[in-house]
Amino acid sequence: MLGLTLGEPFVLETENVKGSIATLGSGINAVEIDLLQPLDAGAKPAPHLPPLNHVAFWVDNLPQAVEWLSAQGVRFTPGGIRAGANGRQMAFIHPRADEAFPLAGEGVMIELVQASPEVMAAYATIAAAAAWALPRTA
Amino acid sequence: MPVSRPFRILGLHHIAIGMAICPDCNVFGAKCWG
Repeated sequence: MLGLTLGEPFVLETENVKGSIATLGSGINAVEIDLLQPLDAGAKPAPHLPPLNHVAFWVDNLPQAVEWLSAQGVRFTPGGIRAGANGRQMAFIHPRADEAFPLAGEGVMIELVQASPEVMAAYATIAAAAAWALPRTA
Repeated sequence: MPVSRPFRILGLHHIAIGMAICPDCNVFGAKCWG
């Protein structure tokens, strides 16, 4: 229907998920739509709940992000930093806060993904081009 | 007062859509997303 490119299905038993990654755009600026299905619908984590399961952002320094955000009171899910479905290092901000960590995703799970040097360079190039094309006015 | 963070969020990497079982094809949204 939407015409996105679908990848081969994958299984990640530690995350209770079988999925496939659809891609829009190309190259370094591609954005993925991860289509997820639980291996066991009664187990945790539940990748099908909620249906819009999470959003994921590139971050330039994942270990420092997790350490600093945790120190500010942001709650991360169990498991800490680990390899995600695409092999990149990632961590999840929990959708709900608790007493120990009063800040969270307000109902939305947020994934932070370590950007590669190539991705960071691409974003730097885009930022430089935008600054040149659209100079800020006072 | 601006907060100094030791990291930067660069952009969107992906969104994740969950499905118990795709009602149409059970092949991860091929009918809808492909």
